[in-house]
Amino acid sequence: METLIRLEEVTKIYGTVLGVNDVTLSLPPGGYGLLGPNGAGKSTLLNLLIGQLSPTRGSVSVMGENPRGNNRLMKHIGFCPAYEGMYARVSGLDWITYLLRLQGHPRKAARERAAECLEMVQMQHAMEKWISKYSRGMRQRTKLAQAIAHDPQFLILDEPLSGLDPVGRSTVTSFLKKWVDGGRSMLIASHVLHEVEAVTRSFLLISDGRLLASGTASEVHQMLLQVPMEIQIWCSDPRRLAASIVTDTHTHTVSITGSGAENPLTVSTANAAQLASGLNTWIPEAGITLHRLATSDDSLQSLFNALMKIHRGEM
Amino acid sequence: MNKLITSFQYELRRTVSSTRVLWWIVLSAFPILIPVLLQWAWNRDRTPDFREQNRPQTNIAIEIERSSELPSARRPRRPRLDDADSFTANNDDEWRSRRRGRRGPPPEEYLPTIWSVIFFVTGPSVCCAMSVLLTAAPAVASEIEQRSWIYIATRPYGIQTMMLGKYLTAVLWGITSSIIGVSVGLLLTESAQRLQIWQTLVGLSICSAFAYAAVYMFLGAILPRRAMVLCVIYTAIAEIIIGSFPAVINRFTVQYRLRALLVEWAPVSKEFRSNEAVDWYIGEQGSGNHLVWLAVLTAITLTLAVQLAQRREFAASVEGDL
Amino acid sequence: MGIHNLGYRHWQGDRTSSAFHWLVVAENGIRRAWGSSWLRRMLFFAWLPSISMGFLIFLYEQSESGSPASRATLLQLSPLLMDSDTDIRNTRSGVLDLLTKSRESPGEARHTFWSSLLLTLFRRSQPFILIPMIGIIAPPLISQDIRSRAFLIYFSRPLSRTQYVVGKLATVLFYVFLITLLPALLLFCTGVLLSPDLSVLSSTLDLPLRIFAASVVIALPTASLALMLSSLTVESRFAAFAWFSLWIFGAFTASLITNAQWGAPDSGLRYLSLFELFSDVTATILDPDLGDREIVEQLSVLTVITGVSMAVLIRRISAPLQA
Repeated sequence: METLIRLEEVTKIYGTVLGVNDVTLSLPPGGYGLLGPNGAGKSTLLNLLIGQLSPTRGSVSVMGENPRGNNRLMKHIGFCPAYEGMYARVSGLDWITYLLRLQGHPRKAARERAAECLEMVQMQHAMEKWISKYSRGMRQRTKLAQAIAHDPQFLILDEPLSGLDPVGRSTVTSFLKKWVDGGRSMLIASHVLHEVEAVTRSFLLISDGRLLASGTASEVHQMLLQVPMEIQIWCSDPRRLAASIVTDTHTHTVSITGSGAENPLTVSTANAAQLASGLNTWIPEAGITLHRLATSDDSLQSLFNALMKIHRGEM
Repeated sequence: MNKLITSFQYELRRTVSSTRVLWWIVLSAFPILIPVLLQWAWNRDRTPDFREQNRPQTNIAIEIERSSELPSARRPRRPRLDDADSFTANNDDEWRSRRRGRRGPPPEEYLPTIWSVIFFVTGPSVCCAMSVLLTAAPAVASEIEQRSWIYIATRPYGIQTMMLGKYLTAVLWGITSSIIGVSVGLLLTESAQRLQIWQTLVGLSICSAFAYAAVYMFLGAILPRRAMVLCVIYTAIAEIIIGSFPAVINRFTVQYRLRALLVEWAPVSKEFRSNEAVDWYIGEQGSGNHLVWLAVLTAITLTLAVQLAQRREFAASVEGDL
Repeated sequence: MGIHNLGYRHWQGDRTSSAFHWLVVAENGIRRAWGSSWLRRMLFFAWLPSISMGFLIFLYEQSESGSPASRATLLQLSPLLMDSDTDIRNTRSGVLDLLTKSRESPGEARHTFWSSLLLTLFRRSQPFILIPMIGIIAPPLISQDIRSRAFLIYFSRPLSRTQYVVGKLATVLFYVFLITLLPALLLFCTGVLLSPDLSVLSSTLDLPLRIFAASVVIALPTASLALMLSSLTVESRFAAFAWFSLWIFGAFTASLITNAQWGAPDSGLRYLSLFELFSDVTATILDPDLGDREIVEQLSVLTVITGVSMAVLIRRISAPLQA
């Protein structure tokens, strides 16, 4: 399998609503995060990948095959939707056993495997109870168990961590990390950036149905250096440093919220790389002590914000 | 095949809820209730006290003569399938004169025909059809409503297996409620040839359940959000109204085929069989022909239902519901 | 206000009177139901019969004025459009008799003709819209609230359970009146407008009141019954099924019993059918000459249906939520 996902000029329109807009993408096997705000088109994209929707225009290929109505492919895909939608009056064990039997597992093997998977997500204590009695976190973990139960090659997860408490979140995150580290493929959709960062460093950014960026975090960080961004600087004399920074032609705005050294200097620049090299000169020259320099570079949030602003024409 | 059995067993287990069982009891009780009510009315009419008390109000001779002044419910109506006299009488006047002054149970020789028709209406036509409607019509809608559709749709042949599993579940609910209702109802009646009537109705219940379940599933797949309303409207317009048209169009309904099979199989009187009005309703084809028609109709509608469910983009509906 | 002051803070803005809180529930229900394209189509069809009957009134009034063409058309059309099973006067010969009678007492003949038309509207066309329409509107009204635990949201506001029930009831009543009261009043107004002069009002002035009474008699039991069914389940499809079953089983039972009973049908058993029940009552309300005159039993049955439905409904809404 050379290509995990291939989308060629894919557009999906529901009536007058544009779900996905002219997305072209090719990804090799691996773990990916799909990021975007609510209503960005993440779920539509996932539904296209699992063959529940057919594109209005363009073509979709998953593991080299068209997913629409493809029963063979469904054996190798595990899907965990964002909504619950489980039968209320059956136990988690019965439900996953049933889904495994639909995958073709024999009765006994299906039950054993279902129990094993529920144990993996730490649901062994409640697997015989009706799903209606589960808490939201328990349901979330049961959903994940059904997605991995048939040992798929490609796991597609839509908001898998929502509703989980910190312990559950940590359990599921480490499980997913192991999954990716084990060499299997995964696409995890979320609008909470740190959830994705904890599992994978490769991601796709989607907004208004358009793919804004794709690649590893470091690749996009490189790109970020060329795009406008905000940097906060804590130093011994912010006003003197501000005077130097405004001499840089790439600087848009400089602001100081207070008079003390504890207040950061906020710089908005069109070229972060240029600002960084400038700081190397201005700080020693002015004899200023630099306490802390914070860009949002380490978080995907700044990347997301910057790309969204570019996309909207605000930057 | 294993998947189908799994799906059937799972769906059956899942549908066994207190509400569903209550409905099953209510539906099964319908074919029992009608003969009980009728026999109660016949026996009450037979008592001299009742006759005496009701003479002025219920003298049918007076009523028929006054019928032009009376509201509809008191006047004789046009021939009906469930009224044996209306088929054996040649015209309204004869029908009126036959019924004039009669109270109490009908003559013995009419009973097999009357019970066959009554149990056909209450069993395979109403109880069985309603029972399969309850399970088959919302087959797609219930999965979309509770958002469980996606889990099934992402399994190989998941939708097909689920639809067929639900179909068999609906058929089983329908057949059991109709057969139990008709069987108990027949036990409470007094009539010759009860075994033949029972055999006929069992056969018709099976045909009805398989055919109606497929039709309702198809309608439910066309319009999941209004499945129940659509199926009721279909039954009222197509099966009851169009099914009674003396024209080619009625041959496309399940009711037409079931009625024809009833007349073929049940111990109905010669007069009933040879009545012109009956010909409107059943035609002259043999029972084999009707069975093949029902099988073809079932196969076509069930295939269409499964294909529709498979091809339609219900994931979008699920998103919409969010 | 201090940040430590975390107690209950009274709403400082304007409030509507608590007497109108039910209106919010009703308004929301009406708006949500209106979103159904099926419902809108049904309403369109519900108004068509009253338009066709308005044309019959026009023909009748013209015939009375001596127009032979109108008379011929009326005699052709009335058996087709009017309920032939209602009264002998509605058939061709009946209309002819009426036209003859109208020379002696035009007011009485007109009243009979108009009320026969209204009865046809109530008895033959509206039930076929009313049943599926309530089948669409009512089943989810309460069952969805129970399922989604919306009671927690409703009753954490200054809204009593009675106001909630009244709001839900008003939702159904609104749509029932849209297909019963309004088309019938429209028919009456059409009749007045298409008459030669306003003197027709003197002989038909009681009809709007009768229309209102007949509409209320239909609307209250049906709305409360449908809402009760909705409150008994969390799955609206069961409520819809129960609603349709009541009509279907009732109609079949009454029909089978009436036809297979060896003699005159037993009036008591006819009450098993809601069709027959409403038919008897509306006929008498619209014109006692058309109906049975004695409708105390029927009205009692309808009162019991309404009372029991409301009692069950309030009990279900007052019951604690289940986990």
